[in-house]
Amino acid sequence: MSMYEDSGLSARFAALAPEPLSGAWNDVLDRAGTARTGRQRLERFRFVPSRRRRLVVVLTAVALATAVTAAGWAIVREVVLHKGFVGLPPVGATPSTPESGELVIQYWVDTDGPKGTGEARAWVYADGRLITLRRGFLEQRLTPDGVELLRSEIVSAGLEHYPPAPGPWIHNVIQVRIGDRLVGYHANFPERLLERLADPASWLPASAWEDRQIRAYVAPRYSVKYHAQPKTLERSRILSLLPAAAEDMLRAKDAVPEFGQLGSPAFPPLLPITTYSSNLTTEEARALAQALDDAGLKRDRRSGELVYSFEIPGTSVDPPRPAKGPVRNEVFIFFWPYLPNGESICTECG
Amino acid sequence: MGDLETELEDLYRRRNGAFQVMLASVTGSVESACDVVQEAFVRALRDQNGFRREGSLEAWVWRIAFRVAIGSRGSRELVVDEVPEVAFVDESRDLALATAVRDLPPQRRLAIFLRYFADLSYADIGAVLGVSEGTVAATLSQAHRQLADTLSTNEVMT
Repeated sequence: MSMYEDSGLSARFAALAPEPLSGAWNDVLDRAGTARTGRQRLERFRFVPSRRRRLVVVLTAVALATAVTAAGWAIVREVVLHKGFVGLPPVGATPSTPESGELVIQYWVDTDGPKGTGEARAWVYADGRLITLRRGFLEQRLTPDGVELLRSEIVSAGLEHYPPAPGPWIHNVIQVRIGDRLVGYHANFPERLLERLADPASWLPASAWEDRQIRAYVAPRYSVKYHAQPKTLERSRILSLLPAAAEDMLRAKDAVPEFGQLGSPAFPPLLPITTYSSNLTTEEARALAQALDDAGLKRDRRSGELVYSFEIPGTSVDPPRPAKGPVRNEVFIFFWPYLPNGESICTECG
Repeated sequence: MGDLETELEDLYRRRNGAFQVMLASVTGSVESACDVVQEAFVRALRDQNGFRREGSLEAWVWRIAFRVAIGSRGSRELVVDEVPEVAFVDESRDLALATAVRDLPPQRRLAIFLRYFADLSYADIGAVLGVSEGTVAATLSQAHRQLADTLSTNEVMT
């Protein structure tokens, strides 16, 4: 690439580029004739009288439970739980114990060096649990000495002397317990440390491991979060749009509103958005997901987490800039697993 | 089928804007380009066996998109070898650059658009145009030199 290309042309071409229109993938599927979209199925679903809907949900659940034998679940557990999973654990999976734990180390670092794997994200607890996020959460067990070795590796790197990394505190963040508090760093970390954090098994001695075998981390609870976008909606309005069984479940739960903004700071104004968050056991979360599946809501296949979404029929709203509209307003329902330190994790954020 | 469909969906979500911006320079408007992009992905979905994983998925879809774009102008399809004509949708925003680009030979002009509007790597530009990466590098180098000469002359004069 020449210097001329670097310095001048990119900006001038960017100024000449027309602004693209928004375009939904569902439109492509519709045109391809392969559509089985949540929107279409939801519209059909919502014409079914309420009591009949509940009956359909119950009958479907019973049919599924009958079809899947105990032996079948055992095979699922064996295969899935050694690879990790996205979304909810298979029926019968044992949650990680103990339910809560004291966080000693947490990191989310980019590891793009010659031996890097892209990025590494992990949580280490005083009880020895090392939970990493790949495709789904995975768990290994360190000994107390192993936890201390990993902690010392970070502390001895002298992170306070490294220049801060650009950008927000999302990637390239390490938190480590020093004394009675977690100390956070957001810096351009040394390559050696990044390589070691990306693959602790490559350098920690055998004695540092209580159980080196990788298993799926099974969360005991899930944070179910839901909102409408780009036009935010009140909780009661969102709930009224859900399948009846799902509406009943979420209405029975407390919900905490979280206020955020949608859009890019480069293109103000940002749109206000309120997300409602409820705490569900894994069994409750599974029942909710089943109700959404039964209603034909679309699961987001790209996502590394369980997300449902549907467009609200008949709506026409403006998206955040620079996208152009109008577009349909959409409801999203996220299932975020809780980690032992009580934090629910968005695996797709950042 | 499922995996490739997911890859296509991911490509569409990431690159829909770049496809539109580039193809608007072929079709003449963003609205028609938006339509062309969707049609290109529809054809890719229907003809998944046509992707043999010999190059990148994106390059394969670009070739389809160009065929659709050229077809949408009333030309016959399958004419990437003939080098589609590209032009800015709105030249007035930088008339000097637009004029300099218009003076480029068609192959260089297309390579420049693919580089700056589509943000493609040299390898993918080569795959779209059916030439080697080295040829792309040489073409872009010549295009940059010609643009630099034209722009420096014109902008000094004005």
